[in-house]
Amino acid sequence: MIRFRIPPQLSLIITALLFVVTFLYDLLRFYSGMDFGGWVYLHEGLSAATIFFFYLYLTTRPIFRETSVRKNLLLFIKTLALFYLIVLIFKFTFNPSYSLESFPPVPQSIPAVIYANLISIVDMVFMSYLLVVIKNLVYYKYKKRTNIYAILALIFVMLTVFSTVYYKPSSLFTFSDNGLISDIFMLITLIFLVLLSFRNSWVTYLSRKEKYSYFLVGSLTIWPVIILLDLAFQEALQSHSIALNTFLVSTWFFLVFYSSLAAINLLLHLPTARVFDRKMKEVSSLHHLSSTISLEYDTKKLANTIIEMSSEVLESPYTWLELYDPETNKLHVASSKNLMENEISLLNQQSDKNLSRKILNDKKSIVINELPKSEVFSVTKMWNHTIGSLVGVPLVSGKGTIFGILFAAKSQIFGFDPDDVNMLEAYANQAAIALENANLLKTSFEQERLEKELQIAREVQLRLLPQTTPKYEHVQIEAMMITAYEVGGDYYDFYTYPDNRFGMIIGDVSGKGTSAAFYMAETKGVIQSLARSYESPREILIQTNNLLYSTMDRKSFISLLAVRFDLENKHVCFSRAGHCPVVYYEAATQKTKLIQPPGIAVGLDEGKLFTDTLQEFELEIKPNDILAFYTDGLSEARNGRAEEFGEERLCEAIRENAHMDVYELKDAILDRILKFLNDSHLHDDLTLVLTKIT
Amino acid sequence: MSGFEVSRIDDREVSVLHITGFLDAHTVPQFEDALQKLVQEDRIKIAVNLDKLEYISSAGLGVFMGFIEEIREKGGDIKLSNLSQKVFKVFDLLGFPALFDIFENENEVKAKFLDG
Repeated sequence: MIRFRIPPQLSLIITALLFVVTFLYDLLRFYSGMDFGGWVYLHEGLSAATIFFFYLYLTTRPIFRETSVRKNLLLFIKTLALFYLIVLIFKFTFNPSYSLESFPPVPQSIPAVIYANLISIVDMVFMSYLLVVIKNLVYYKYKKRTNIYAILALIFVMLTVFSTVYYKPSSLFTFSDNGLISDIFMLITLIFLVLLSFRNSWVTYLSRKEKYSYFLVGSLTIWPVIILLDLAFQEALQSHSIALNTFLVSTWFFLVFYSSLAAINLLLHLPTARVFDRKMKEVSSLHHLSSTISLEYDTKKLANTIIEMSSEVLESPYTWLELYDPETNKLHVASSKNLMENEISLLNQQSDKNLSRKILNDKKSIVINELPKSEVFSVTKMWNHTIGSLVGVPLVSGKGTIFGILFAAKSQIFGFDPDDVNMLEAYANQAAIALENANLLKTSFEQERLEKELQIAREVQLRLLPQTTPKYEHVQIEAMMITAYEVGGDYYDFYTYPDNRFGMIIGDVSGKGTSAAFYMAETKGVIQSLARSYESPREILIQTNNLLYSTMDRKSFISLLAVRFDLENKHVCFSRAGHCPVVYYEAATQKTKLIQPPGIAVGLDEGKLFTDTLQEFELEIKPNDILAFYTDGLSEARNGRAEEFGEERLCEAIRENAHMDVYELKDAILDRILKFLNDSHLHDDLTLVLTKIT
Repeated sequence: MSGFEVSRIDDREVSVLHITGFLDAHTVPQFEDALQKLVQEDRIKIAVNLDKLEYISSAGLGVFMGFIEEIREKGGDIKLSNLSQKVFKVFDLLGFPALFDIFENENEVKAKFLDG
């Protein structure tokens, strides 16, 4: 639709102006009695133009954009009533008469002229308003063809107007002589108007009450609309302008068609009104359920909401949700409405052969509409409340497993029709998604918390380790630690003594996670300070055990190996408190030995047994000798075939690569280990400290 | 992975627990429950038969440590038997033989208990 940017006031002024001009023309014609020939057409054109400009004015008014059906219908009635009132007042006041000898009719008095003009204005204005209301209703639901029909109707009404003005037929639909062409055009116009009148889909979405009341009012309103033709149009309008008359009569036809078809459509919708209402209610309640439960992550509250809403939409007084625990293979009532304590406990105690089991196994909803006659689910017969009918629908997870059942029960028999069951199933689907999400979220929060904990433990562990491997004379040292996903509690450290002596400690705290990391931190602190006072590895470990035993919990322990290197005197001694044996490669013989002196782990005994068992081992070392210290993460590293790497492979790797310096040796051993693992994961931290005497 | 079972047979004052499978952090609660029950029933002469034990983690070892003090205070004990070579190595490294009596078979354990 082309829109001119003419300000509304201007349109109104032009309309008024046009009426004034055409009124003057009518007066002139009346007084002079002459035939103005071609000027008639101008007069007709100007009269017709009033509609155009007035319509333009209406496009700027709020009524043009009114989408509410109720408001439009109300406006229709009010406009019609006012229309009647004004027409009757004018008619009574002016009491006009017109000569019908020729067509168009001739006014027979000045009042008749005035009346003719006044009624033309009134007709034009009111019909325009009514037309806008109808337009609003037609475009309630947009369909592509609507515009085409509207444009075609407009074209043909224009053609009808032109032909009636030219041919001046005295009556409609004679289909003869000078009326033929205009009748044909009119007919075609009416066809398109009828097609437009079918655009009343707003009827469908009314509530039941609205459908009934609108039908009543509508069927009464049709009559005044029909009578309008005789009352407001006819001679008076024709005497002023044939064009205007033709146009407004077409509009009148449109009003009649539209009102009739709307009334018929309303009538046809009455039988299904109740069910339709119910369906709409179900859809909106599903919507409501969806938005409510998507905000709720607490399982208990979720279950309660689901029960409440199910109960409301199904109008079932007794509603409850049973959740299934696969570990215990039992169902329990998670939430219920209007059930008493003993009824709930009866439900929880049910035996295997019952309705819930059946639903779990068949994975389908079950309805029992005559419960008193049924043998299944007899548990309800022991209830205080009388149950007549019952339905249970399964809650299915995303993976297709059933994790619960939603039940609804009513006192009367035949309380649930297939629609109700569908509704409950739709609810159950939503409920299942929401409950699953709540569960996943809870697990994911847990997961996140654990990850955070591990991360902290990992950071503690890495901070406790030596940042660089120290350098001492006559010895090469290389250390390596590969951490497993779960913090394993491995630890190693170095401390220096005067005269090119140094100590090393390697250990493994039992357990995983943050507690292992904290014990490790404690151990490091204890040993670092003990190393200042003691040089004997055995002493250090004994003191360590004394200090740590009381602070550790009974179930935890730490395996430790303390070593002292004296490079000047080529002398090594160590004590093993429950830790892995030492690998000693003797360059002279090219053989490896596993040295495992007695000793129990720290934290297992308060002192006496620990001290009595722990021995210190002494060793003379020569250049090119290699000592390897490791944790069980290395010896127990498992490949895909559940084989352990073991000490033998470590010894072998050392023997074969003993000629290398420790850095290359470490790489060679690492290479061996990785090949052995072959993509398997480490379950425990793997630590290796290599020392080669130079 | 991670199948674990513990079964109990009472023979006079001695309760024998047979542990089977993998004893790690996941399955530790089962073993703990069994020991807890024995302590509650005051059956504190406990023989643990590790014949069918495939694997034990530090958490599993911790279980023994967790109960032993209480049991010994009451005058009882936990004694172990039938350890496979692999399992024995784990116990041995940590020094458990100094803390617990470890025997070749169940009968030796019972004999030790009954002798007193």
